[in-house]
Amino acid sequence: MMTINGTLLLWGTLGGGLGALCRYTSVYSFSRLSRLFWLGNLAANILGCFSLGLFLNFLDFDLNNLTAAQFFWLGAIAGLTTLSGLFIDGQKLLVQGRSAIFRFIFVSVATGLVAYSAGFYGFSWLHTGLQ
Amino acid sequence: MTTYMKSLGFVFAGAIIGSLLRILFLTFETEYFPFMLLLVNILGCGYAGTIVQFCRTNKLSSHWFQFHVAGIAGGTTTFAGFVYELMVYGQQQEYVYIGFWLAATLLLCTAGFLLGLHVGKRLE
Repeated sequence: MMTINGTLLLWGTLGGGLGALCRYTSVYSFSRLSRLFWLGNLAANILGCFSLGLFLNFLDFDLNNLTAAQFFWLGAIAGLTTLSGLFIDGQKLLVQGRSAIFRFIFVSVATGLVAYSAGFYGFSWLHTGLQ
Repeated sequence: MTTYMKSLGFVFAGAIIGSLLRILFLTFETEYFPFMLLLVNILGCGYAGTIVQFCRTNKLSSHWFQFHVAGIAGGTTTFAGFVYELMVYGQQQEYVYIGFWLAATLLLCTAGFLLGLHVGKRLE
């Protein structure tokens, strides 16, 4: 169990706020560039999962002590990615039929897993290859 | 100030509240199963559903809509946490837990979102 303290709350909420700003910018930008409104949240989720994989491999951290972990993991990456946005986009896709929602959720989860793996294992592979 | 810049301020303020709620819930997380992570995701989806439905008939400015949906609901829920747990169970070869976590998150968050839509309709 995490111990709650001022540092955790400060860095976690600040990171969450900044992550949400990046997500909103992604949604705003994609909605202006493309008719595919769901691309914004999907891109934010993919970027967040990739960053998480990279970050977890790059730093061996303790959640209670490391400020960077509180800022990035509990804050920025969690704030960047969203599940509620996934369901809101899914609901908008209802006009295209129920199968569109299932496809969208499947693609979201699959790309999230691939992005996480790419960040996590890609870093190891690159690091080993460079040595 | 452009509409986009103003929206950023509202989203940031909402996300601070959402992140605070998420962190407070996660401090009560157990070692055995991420119940609190599941709970914050369900609550966030329910809240998003309520606001989305409520805003269909009630006039709420787009800034306040973003404050609630992209800020509070988006800040409370986390997709990365959901994927992280899936990967951890995968690395431990706990296939039953993978199926359970996947089904529990997707089904309960859908149920939370639908319940939120129902609540939003009642509030109209």
